[in-house]
Amino acid sequence: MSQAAAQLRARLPRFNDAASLRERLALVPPRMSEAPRTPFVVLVCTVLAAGVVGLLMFNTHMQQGAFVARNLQKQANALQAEQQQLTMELQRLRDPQRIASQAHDLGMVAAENPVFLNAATGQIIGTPKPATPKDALQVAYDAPKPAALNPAPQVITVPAQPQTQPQTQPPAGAASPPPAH
Amino acid sequence: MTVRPRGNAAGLRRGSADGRLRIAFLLIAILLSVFAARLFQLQGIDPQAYAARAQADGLVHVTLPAARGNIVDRNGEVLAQSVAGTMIVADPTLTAPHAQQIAQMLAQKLNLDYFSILQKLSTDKTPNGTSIRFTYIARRVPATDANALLKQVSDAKLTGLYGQADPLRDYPGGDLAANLLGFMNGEGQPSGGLEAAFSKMLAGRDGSDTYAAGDGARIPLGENTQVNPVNGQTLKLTIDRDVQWYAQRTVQQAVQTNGAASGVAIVMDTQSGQLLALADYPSFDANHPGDGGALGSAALSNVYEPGSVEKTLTNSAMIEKGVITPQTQITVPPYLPVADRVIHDFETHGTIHLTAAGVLAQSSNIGTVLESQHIDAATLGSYLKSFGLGQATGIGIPGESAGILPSPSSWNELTKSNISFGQGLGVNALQIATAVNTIANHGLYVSPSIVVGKATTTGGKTVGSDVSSTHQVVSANTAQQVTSMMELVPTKDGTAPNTAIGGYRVAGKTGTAEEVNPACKCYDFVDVSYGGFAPADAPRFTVYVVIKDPKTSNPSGAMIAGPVWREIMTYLLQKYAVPPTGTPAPGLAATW
Repeated sequence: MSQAAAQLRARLPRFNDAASLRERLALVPPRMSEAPRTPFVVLVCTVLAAGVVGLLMFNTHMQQGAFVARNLQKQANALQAEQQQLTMELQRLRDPQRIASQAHDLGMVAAENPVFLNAATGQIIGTPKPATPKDALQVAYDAPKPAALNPAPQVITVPAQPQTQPQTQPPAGAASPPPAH
Repeated sequence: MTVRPRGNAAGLRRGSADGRLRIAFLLIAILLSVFAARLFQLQGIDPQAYAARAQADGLVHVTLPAARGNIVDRNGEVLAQSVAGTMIVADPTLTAPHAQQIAQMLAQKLNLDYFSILQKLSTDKTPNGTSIRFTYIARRVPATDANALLKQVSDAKLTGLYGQADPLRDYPGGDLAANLLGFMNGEGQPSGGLEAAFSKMLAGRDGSDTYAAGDGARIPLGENTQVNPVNGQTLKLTIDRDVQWYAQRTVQQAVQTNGAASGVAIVMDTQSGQLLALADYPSFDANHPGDGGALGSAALSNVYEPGSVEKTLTNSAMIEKGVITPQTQITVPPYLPVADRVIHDFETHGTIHLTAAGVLAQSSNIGTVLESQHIDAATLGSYLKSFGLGQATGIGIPGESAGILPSPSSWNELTKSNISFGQGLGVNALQIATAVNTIANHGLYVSPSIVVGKATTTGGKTVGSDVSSTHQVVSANTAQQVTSMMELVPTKDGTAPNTAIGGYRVAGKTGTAEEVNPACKCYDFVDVSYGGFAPADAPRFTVYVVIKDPKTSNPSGAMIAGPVWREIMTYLLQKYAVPPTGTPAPGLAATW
């Protein structure tokens, strides 16, 4: 190092010079009491816990509701199927075929002539004629026989055998009668 | 004392912070670029595959079937309806140990065949050794029955039997209007009739339901996407269920009593043209279409020569043209040679003197031909076309035939004579019924309809009572004169005194038409018919009945079809409470 630089350095104030240190030193004020940090932490933890638990409970409640809804839906489906069954039963009871069969069984027949009675005046409009059993309507639905129940007759042709001896037993190869139907 | 500046010998021992930082940054950059590359690989190339794999794991996709619309009659009575059904399926590997017990329950509860079910439940391996995990046990079982059965099976701690949704189509009336309704085939597709014609409007649109499931159960609050199904619309018919039933049974009785091949009865409401009944025999049970019978509607598809009922149309044309009046006097010879043939009447007679009314009432072919010689072919042909012959009525049921009306320019004299009394042209039952209805409706043709309101077929055609068309064929005066002539038919002067209804004025016409046997190409059998309406002066209903090929000796429209007509008309007048009008019949003279 050069002489000039050393001199220059000697003249500049030094920050860590003992005197400047002493000047700068001062009495440290008494420590301020800090606010306790624990309650804040507790508060935050409480809020956190409450939020988590609350969310969990809320979610659980909703899921329970979903289970209830599913059970009710199953119940509604079952009731709907039952209602359909009952409606079908009602339709079967109101079927004109069934009613006509029951009327037929009671001996009822169709009217010969349409006749009207004016209830107010007692006047009969039309030509009344007593109904007779021949006016009965055939009510049963007779489906045409399917082919399986209406087979063509089996025809077996056997040439006649000249009779040479008394018949004590049927000759071999006799025709079997066609199946009864 | 000197304090050593930082960054000198101590720094050399600890190394340069810059360098560490740079190395750290380099490592982080390498790591991030690896991440970036992986990100590009996952998202940039084929992102769907991973998403689909994630979805497939735990998501269930179910189709929500749309309920098929009902078909109801004019009073809302159900003719065809969709019922929630279940199909019973089994896993034979699980059912095989207890097959007998399960089969017994199935046989008892669902009335199935025990042995075939037992076979299915116990066969858990195919012949080449692979195990069978799925087999159908029963299709389209009503839901309550199936649920009861499945509950019984699970209560007995038996596994392997499951139920799946399988909606079924129920026809509460069985064979009631089955010829019109059609049916659903084994795959659940509509087959023929109105079910097929209006399938688009009846079917609706299926929905879907996608949800997260765990262990077979839906996870509540899990992912859930639902598209609601759009149910089908209801189709309302003009058919009256009770009248249809009655018509079907009376036709059946007549066909069976007379050993006939088939029969048809049509009931129309005169003013609106709505069909109250369109009955066919033989028919079939729509719930069991596989059991046989005649599918479809012969009333619409079968073409035949109408016979003498058509004389009412010829007479309408002639009276409208002023060629004849009901009291025109005709001398009717016992036979009439026309071209190279000889025309006879149904009953042999000598030379008789009949008025035009008498010619119609006695159904004289010869008299009709003599009258028609004063009208030319083109005019008669155009009137018949105006009455609707030769064109399909277009009510919306598939399979309807248009009939055959030869072009008037092609008629020779024999053809014209034949056509004038109803031979030599082809019609279906509905066409001729509608034509007779035109006379009942004061000469106004109303196109028949089978749907109340309007509906669009799958082919895009709109049909229904709201869109029926009308046109005046003959004047009301002409129609009234023809009606007066027709009123003679159910009297002692006419061919069918047995069709009179006590207290009422009825108008009718018998028909006995010869039909060609395609085997011998000769006229071999007859179709007998009767068409008419009541009350004659204020017609409410037109009824037309035709019975094909009755096997009785000397069959006639009066004896076979007439009684059916009378029964149906009596039923109608009573059901709809139509009182007699009380006016006296015109009582035209039949002879002179």
